[in-house]
Amino acid sequence: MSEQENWREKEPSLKEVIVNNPEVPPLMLLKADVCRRGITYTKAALDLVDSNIHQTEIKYLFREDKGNVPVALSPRDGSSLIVFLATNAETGRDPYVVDALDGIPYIFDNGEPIEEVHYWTKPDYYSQKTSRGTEMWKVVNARPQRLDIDTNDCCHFWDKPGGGCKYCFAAGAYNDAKNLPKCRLNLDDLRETVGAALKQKGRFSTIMLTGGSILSGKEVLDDEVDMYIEVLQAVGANFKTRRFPSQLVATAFNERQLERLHEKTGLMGYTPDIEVLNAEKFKWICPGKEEFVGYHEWKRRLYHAVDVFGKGNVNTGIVGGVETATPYGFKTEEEALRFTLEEAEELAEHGVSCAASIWQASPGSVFRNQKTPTLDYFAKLMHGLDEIRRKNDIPPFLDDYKRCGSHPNTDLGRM
Amino acid sequence: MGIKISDTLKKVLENEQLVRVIISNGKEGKTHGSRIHKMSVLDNGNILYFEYLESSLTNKNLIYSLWFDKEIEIFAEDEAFHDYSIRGIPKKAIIEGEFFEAEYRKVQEKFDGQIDLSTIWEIEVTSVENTDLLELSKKEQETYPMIQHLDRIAKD
Repeated sequence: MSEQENWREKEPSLKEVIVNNPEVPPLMLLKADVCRRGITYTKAALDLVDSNIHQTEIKYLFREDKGNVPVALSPRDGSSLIVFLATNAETGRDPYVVDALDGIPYIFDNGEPIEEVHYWTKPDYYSQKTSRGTEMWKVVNARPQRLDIDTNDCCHFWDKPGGGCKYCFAAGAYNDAKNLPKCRLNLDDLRETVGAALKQKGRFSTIMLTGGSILSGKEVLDDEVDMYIEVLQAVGANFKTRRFPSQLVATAFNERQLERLHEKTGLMGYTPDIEVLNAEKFKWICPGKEEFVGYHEWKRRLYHAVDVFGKGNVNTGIVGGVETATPYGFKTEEEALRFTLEEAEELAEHGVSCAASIWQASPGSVFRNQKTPTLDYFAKLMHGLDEIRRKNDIPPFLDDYKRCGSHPNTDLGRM
Repeated sequence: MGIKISDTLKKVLENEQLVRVIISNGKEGKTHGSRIHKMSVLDNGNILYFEYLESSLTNKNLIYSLWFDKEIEIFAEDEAFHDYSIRGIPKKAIIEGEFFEAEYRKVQEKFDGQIDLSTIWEIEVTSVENTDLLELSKKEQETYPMIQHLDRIAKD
């Protein structure tokens, strides 16, 4: 039996992890495991997709698809399963299977139905065009409650070979992206698309902006800040209030940059992703971030951001599990968990919570084909991060199930 | 499949003029009751509870109940002061889609845009009890004749 065929014998199953982690909801463990192992669809599951009703269009980096595959799923608790299509060869584990059961999409594992899901529904504006003739779904992406604005397709940490983050799949797209404009969006298209989206009452709760790091400018990152100011001002033209529910996932800006951004826009939340909670691993995994900002300076900027945006409006993303990557990551899951949670505690004492995604060893990344941690590790990581956030009294809403949906640990803030 | 709700009780549960309370418990162990502003009963007997506040303790407790299969209780009283206790388990949190948006628009209209709609909870009913005091007292005396004050049965 090959390594990939007997993976189930080498790590605890979902059922065992549920028993061993009674404080974590089984549905959240399933979510983490689906993110970890990926999914495939059967023909019967895809036959349930109606591209007039369900969201099948995706514009992300260079991917611009409009097919018959749902972009994501929601289980019955209303959260999101933002999943990737996977094969055993890519992850070393069997992906979950979405199949039809009595005419309803269900997640299956080993032939056993686990949980009912539904496909995300398409927002009204997806079928509309801007006055310039641009299809609106290509301007702004949608999640069930969120508008996603991807400003640019290139991360300039890759300008220096090997400078980008080692888990990031954008590495493979760098050569195609490096000469594109700093901002891919036409601001009139953007203003119009957001305006059209807001006409669908009850659909959207927040706006998230993100893009690759832009290092140029009088000071490093000045051009990135200027781009976001222009974009946020275009978005903000649709609101009657000075500030509007919004989150910027971007590079860690210095005091001058951050205060300019806050002063000139209606932005409410800020998420500069530190990615890995350890100075030594950060230096190895995120060399560009280390060179242009540095681990300790990144943390200092996070703390300053809390002064600007307020407690609960600043957090940082981590790629949960990447701290165990080989050859220089933590050698055991116990060690990785202990150091990660210790560092998360220090951040939380300064008002910064963590939003952990589940590391996938994505094709196109430097870390492709690496083995990601066990589900038990993710169970303990998500529970630990949630407990730290609660202990430090940090509100959970900035990156929760409605305003994001990618992070099992922030979902736990619902209860 | 949960327990069916009678047409009489359905009218009570859906009457916004009557007192209806949802009682729940959560991760922190805090039992919490709050007034129900809107509730309806589906054809399959499940109850829809409309929660307006995302940050309310009820909302937190309901997701706890959904995740861990824990019962919540709904208390209702009809116009003749007969009381009902309905227990159930939240099975679905509806936060988007055509039905949610239609209900959201009704909330906006009713409250002139001052109230949001967070979640429509679908609750599967596990038991229904008539908790009218006189009936309960009668049942208690029949079932446990040992437990009453003696003067109530003393000769005059």
